[in-house]
Amino acid sequence: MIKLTLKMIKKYVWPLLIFILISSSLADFSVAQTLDISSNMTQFKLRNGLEVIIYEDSSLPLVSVVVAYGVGSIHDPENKGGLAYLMQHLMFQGSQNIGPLQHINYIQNVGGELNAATTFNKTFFYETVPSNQLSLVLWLESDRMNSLEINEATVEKVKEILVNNERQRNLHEPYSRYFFLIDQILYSDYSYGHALPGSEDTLRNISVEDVVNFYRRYYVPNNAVLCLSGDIKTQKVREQVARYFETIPKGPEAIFSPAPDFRSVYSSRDQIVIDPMISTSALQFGIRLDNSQVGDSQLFKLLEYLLLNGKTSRIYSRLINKERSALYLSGGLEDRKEFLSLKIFLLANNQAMIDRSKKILVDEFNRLKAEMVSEKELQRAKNKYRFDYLSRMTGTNLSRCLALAETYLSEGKLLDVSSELSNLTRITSYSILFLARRCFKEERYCFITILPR
Amino acid sequence: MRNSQKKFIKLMVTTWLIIFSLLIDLSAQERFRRNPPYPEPLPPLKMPPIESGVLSNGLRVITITRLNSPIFTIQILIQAGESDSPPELSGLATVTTQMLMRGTLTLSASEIEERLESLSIDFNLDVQSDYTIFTFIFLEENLEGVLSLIKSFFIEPTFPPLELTSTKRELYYRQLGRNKDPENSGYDFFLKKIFADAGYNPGLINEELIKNISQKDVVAFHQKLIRPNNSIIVFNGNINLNNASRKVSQMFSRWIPRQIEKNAAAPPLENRKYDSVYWLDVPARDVAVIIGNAIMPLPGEDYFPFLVLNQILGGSTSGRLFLNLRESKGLAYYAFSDLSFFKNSGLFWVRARTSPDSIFPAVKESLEQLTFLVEEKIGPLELERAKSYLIGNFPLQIQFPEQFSKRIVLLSVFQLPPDFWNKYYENIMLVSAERVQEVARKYLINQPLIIVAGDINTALDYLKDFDKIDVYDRKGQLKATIRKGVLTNENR
Repeated sequence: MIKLTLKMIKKYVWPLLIFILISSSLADFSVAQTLDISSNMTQFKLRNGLEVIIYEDSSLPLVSVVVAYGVGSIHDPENKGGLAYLMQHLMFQGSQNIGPLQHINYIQNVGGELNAATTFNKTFFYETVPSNQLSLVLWLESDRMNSLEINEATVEKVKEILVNNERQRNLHEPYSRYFFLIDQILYSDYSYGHALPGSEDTLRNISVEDVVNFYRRYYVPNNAVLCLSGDIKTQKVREQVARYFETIPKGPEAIFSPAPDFRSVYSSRDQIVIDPMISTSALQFGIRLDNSQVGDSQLFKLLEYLLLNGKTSRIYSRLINKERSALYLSGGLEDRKEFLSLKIFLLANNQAMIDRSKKILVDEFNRLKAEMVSEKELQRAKNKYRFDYLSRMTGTNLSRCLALAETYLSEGKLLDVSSELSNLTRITSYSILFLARRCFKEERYCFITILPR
Repeated sequence: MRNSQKKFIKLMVTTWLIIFSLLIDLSAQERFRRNPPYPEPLPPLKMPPIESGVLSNGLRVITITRLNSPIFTIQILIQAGESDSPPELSGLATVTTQMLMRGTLTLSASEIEERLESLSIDFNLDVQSDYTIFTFIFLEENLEGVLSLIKSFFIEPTFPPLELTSTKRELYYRQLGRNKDPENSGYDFFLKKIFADAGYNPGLINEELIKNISQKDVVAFHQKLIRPNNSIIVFNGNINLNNASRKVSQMFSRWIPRQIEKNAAAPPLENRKYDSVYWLDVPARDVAVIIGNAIMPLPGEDYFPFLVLNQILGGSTSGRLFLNLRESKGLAYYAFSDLSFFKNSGLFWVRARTSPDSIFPAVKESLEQLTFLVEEKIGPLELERAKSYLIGNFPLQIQFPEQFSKRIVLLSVFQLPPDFWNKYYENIMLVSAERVQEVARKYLINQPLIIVAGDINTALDYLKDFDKIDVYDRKGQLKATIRKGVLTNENR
């Protein structure tokens, strides 16, 4: 057996370690270089405050456009939950020069695709079209930013659609109400805790005046970012963007997100609900991960990968493969600004299996706080993280645009691939252990057991 | 005039001039907002460099060279699928290809799972009637490790009995789940009926026969059909043919070729007249309607005109079916049309989801839309819109490397020329209204096969307008016949 002396460590081990560290950093550096993000990207701001990001990628004759507004469900006024979501739908109901639903027809007639999404603090509108149709998208997006048609009839029509969707969801997706219930427990103030699509009552409370005020306050150029990626030339796009967007008047100067008003500490909960609408027993778990610090987001993401991402992840492999206490499992981190939560939903055969699953969850969280994650396991999580991150950045023009727009709205800066990847290499098993000890407090675990009648 | 008056007038004139010029400016700004802008010329479709070669064991290697991306895709196509499963061993192709990754000489199923995740490989298996495609997406830096893992699946599988049992069980439950959905089960029933006498399995799996599959059958299928000379490997990433061939030669040299013995190809399916309506009894709240018939197989000169026809009929939400059945008449939740291609046959089919009380008007309206295409020539605007959609949408369909690789590798399966996709724009542009009507008259003239999948008891009151409906259970047995809404021959 070879005995390792201090002299040998100095002579062989340290140089080796340094070599490994440099090589791994170089690998990330080379990936970042291959991506060559910055040289293809231009960012500028129009006089009305609209942030514009342009990314040139000529591999296919396509262009994706994302218009992202810094508004979401946390901006819904009290008892008017669902307003941000309603606004997203109203954006397709016509503007001064475009008839109701014509936006969709214009895009589809040229073979393009489009969609929209609302989160708790952002709303995205996006299209991918052949690159020769870029001005069509700019025309459509600028018209609804500039002059959305809002009237009683349209608002009522969209409210009816959303109320009907809500009824259908309650009928056909009976578990969905528990996804919202756990939010109310974890975020106990109205802004952060209410359901994004609203409820029948809160949707009915919304008036045309509310919609007009909401639109004028938040759907303004100085609360938005316009991101374009594809087979385009920056100089020309600058001119097109200026033509369509620069004359749109800016909105109110300071747009703040409501300050969270929920209790910083909430007590754990373990409640049982008997629900005649469901046929299979279920468990909804949630914990709000307070005490996070700057730079924790990558750590949390790795933690999510370790616990829930893939068949070999800790919770999946135990609940589904080894102990077979759960039939189905889903979950992950949810980021509400600096307030993260981890949520897990599972289905099981009966209450005994639910109880067993609960014990396994607690056991896995305790293990995370007691033992260091093995190097192999950590590396696997890092590899997955890198793969997902790079897939997003290089996959399609749309995925890149969404990533750029989201990062800009969240952090007020452009994505920096090389620093993101080099930060990842610095994360150690210790960092995970300390994070788990800091954030996973047993007195904050919330369980809702849902049983059929 | 006093100086102050002069100054006042000057000021007024200047002010009005500024206001006037501003108004002119504003109206000019607004003018471009009134109408949609004209598009710029259509940019050419630039395909990445594609090379191809064949190794000594018969394995064909294709490279699609894409620089500047850290993501790499490998696809392996086996020219064997469910049509190669013997009728009494339904599901054999699916089970065998899944079992390749459930144990090798050096790795157990859980170790394979572990390895796939360590290398962060995004994996997908697609088993069709005539072919099977394995897709592996990963970071370029892991290429060597991924190739080494993949080769063990094809060269050293061990097909452990315990894994076979669980693979069969998973497939059985997956099929049961599929059968519960009226659209899936309706489409499967449509395929079953339309290929009834063709001597060809279009990829259907009978869940009751999965249990018959033994380890011996799986080994035999692997030995017989999963061979290098029946396969194609496609690299999509930062690589050229020389490098790819060298790597594949090193890794796959022990994959032994064999004479491939396949059943004689079935003759092309004939477009024919169907008299009855077939009902598949599935407990469901909604009803799925599937209407279709045989069209030309690939390759064929009617392909591009039919593609345009399909787009006009129901290729998207601006198709006639969607606009008439859903938007205008409220007869269906959705209504589209699709094309499916098999080795020697092609199908067009309409699919609509509706409620029991709208079945008859929805079927009637769908058939009328087919008749319109036969009887009336397409107007120039509608034709150009359909062609514009197909041309504009094509690059979106190949955005993901795996989608593009699949289109390239399928050229071999359907014996299409290598420049088929390069000429896509050109071929679409050449389609005229006359050619669309010509193919409509060729393939839409016969009364098509009509399948309705849903709960017969819920719908019985709404079926009086149909002359005859044959009702089948989920096992494919004739259960009853309904004439003018009256149950005339119940075989329960």
